[in-house]
Amino acid sequence: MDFTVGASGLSQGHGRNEIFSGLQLQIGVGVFGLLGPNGAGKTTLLRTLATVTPPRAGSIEILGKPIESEKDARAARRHIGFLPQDFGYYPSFSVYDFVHYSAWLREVPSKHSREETLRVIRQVGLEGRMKSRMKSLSGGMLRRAGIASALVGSPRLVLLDEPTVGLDPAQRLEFRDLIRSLENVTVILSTHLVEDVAAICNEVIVMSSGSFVFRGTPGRLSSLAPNGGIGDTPMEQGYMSILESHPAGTR
Amino acid sequence: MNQLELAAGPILRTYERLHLSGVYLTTLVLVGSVEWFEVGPDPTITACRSLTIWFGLALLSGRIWGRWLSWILPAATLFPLTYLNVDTNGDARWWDWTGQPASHAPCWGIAALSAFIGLASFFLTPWHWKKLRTKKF
Amino acid sequence: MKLYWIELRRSPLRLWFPLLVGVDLAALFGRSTWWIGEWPQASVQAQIPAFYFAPLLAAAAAWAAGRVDRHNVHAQLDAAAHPRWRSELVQLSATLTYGLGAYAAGVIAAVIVTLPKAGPGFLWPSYIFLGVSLLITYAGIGHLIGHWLRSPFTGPLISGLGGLVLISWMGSPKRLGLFALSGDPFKEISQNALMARALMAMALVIAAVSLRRKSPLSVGRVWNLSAHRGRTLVVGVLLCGSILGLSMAGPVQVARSAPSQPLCTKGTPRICLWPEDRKYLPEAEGMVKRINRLPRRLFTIPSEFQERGLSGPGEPFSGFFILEGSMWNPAATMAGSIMHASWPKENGCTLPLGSRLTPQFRQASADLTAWLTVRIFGGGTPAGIHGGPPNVSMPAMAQLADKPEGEQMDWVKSRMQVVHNTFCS
Repeated sequence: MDFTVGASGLSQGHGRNEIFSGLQLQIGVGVFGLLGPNGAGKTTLLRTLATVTPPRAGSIEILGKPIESEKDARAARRHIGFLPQDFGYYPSFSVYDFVHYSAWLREVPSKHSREETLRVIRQVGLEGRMKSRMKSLSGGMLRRAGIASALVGSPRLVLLDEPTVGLDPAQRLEFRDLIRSLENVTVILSTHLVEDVAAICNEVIVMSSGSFVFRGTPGRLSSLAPNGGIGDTPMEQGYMSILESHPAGTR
Repeated sequence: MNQLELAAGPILRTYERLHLSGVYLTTLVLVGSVEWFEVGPDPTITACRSLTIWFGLALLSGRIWGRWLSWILPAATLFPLTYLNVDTNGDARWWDWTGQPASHAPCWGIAALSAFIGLASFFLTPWHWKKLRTKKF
Repeated sequence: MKLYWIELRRSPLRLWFPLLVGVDLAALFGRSTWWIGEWPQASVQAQIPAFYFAPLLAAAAAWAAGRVDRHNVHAQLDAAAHPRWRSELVQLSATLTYGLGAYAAGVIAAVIVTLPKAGPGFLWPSYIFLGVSLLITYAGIGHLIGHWLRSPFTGPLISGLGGLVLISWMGSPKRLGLFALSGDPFKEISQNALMARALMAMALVIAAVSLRRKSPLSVGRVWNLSAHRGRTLVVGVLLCGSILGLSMAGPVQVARSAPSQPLCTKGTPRICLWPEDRKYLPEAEGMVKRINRLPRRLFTIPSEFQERGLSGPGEPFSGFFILEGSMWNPAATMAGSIMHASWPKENGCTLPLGSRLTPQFRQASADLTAWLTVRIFGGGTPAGIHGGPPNVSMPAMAQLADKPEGEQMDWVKSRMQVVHNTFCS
């Protein structure tokens, strides 16, 4: 089976602090939601899959190629669009400059970079603000600019950490349409917003205390909702019941 | 933190005033004492005058670019004061507040102007400006 | 290139660029303009703004380098396909472009004003490159400091003010030789010294873009740690090597070989100048005329006076140099040379030493030298000259030089009598 990103025995940590260990993962084309409480290790997992930090143990494969060295990591990053949770920007850069800079960081060929930049800016609905400085954008627009920077160059793997923070409900709906419109791409979406996962994800992974405690479709997660469980929707209830059966701090 | 400070109550402003006064007076006393003991009264007065000018410039600089960059305007005076400060006769130019003697009136004028502009830039907040602009004379 | 243009357009220095150009032109023309018309002096003058630009550029580079921390862009840069040094290099290049651009404006201005007056020749590129290497060195240092000090203002403050203190204290030609203050034609930049400074500049740029602190988002691991350590070691060796090379390269300015055909006045005595000082030839010819009006029965006039460097070591007073565009120092040197040639040489007359060096002799000797200086110079003293030999009033000498010739000669004879009596006692 072809998969975009795979991990085997993946471990990550810092000093004596182990964030996760022994993770097995194979993800192909589609949209995957990564749910979990704060401190579960979601951001660290995304950073590891983005090849920003080498794993402490285990292996990663991106598009069939093992990532064993910095050279492999850099080569893989050409195909990875990563939007960190806490992304920064140079305030004096315009939206165009910012996205174009991201295209350069990902080595999008220069003859295509301009049209690519314009395409993704249009895609996130910021073409009217293309020349505006980043510092003049509202929180939601900044997030959309960040999403554009992750999508420029049509990466095969898109890692989005809390992409809908700051977006109003209408913008969140547009974001969902945008993600649905991506073809032949693997999207891993880390979020606290269960309804986003329910709306757009083919599969959900629930992470708690550094382990995967659930993997399946949103429907299956919803089906795990007990009667009278905690949460307003079946999916929330299913999610909370999973977490209750795997309390934080236990593996 | 800047955003929080903008919405702070009067107490922050009180502390800002106290802090600035304290910094200015402490520096004045330290510099003045060392100068007095080392070189005498005339250079001491010149040094205190220079300090006042730089202090005013620092306040203005902080107002324009933010407190972290208060040093920009004082630092900018280094070039004219070290390179352009003497005329073809080798004498200090009239605006060279570090080279002119303590009795030189134009330099005291510069000190007064710098102190005025500096203090105005500190005290005239956006609310004050609005009041001044809408005031009917 | 596209990223370079983005960085250039968005650099905070873009707004400061006109001010930088203004400072450069102020440094060039604001203090004096005597250098106009002499290529080596114009070259040094064009290079002098680097003294102030270098700390400024260091502060600017530190500020620019610190933006990654200020605006928390670590995550994007950590996830880039490009190696980090490329984005650092582009950013540093943009900062340098503004600094070098303002510097170039001054160089061009120096050329424009000097070209009509200086005659054949052009700016001496070695002085210009000395300034360029200083700017690059400081930009590299600033970038390195800005990267490593995470505080938004400490980096620029330390780089800027610290850099200014360092350059003022240690940068002079007699110490680290980071800049030149005088472009006398008998000196030139040592190629070894220039190469050493250029190499140090390059080493600092390499260090600035290669060495960096661990990202604050890092969980403690980096790809290819051994390569990182190796790179750090190589950069360290490069830096140490360049510092060593700098210390071994010798002084930044060295003596220049004399031309085969110096520029000399006609007739005797001859005053010979370096060809680059051709603009002083008319003044030198005036001095020859004034020297020839001195009474030969009282003074022995050497046949030739040479600018420093035109002859090898020999006569102690034979090499004059033109200080800041004034022929005063040459006049004083020629006066000393004439006095030396005019010492009594009869049998029984010897150079007074020890107790024979009376205060009267010293005074008479100093008076005569000062009077000769004023006469050869053409009367008066330059505005910038405030003193003279000990116990000699230059204004009084200037007044004496305006008196009738007879009165002056009586005065000279009385002084010469003291000298003669001291030599021949």
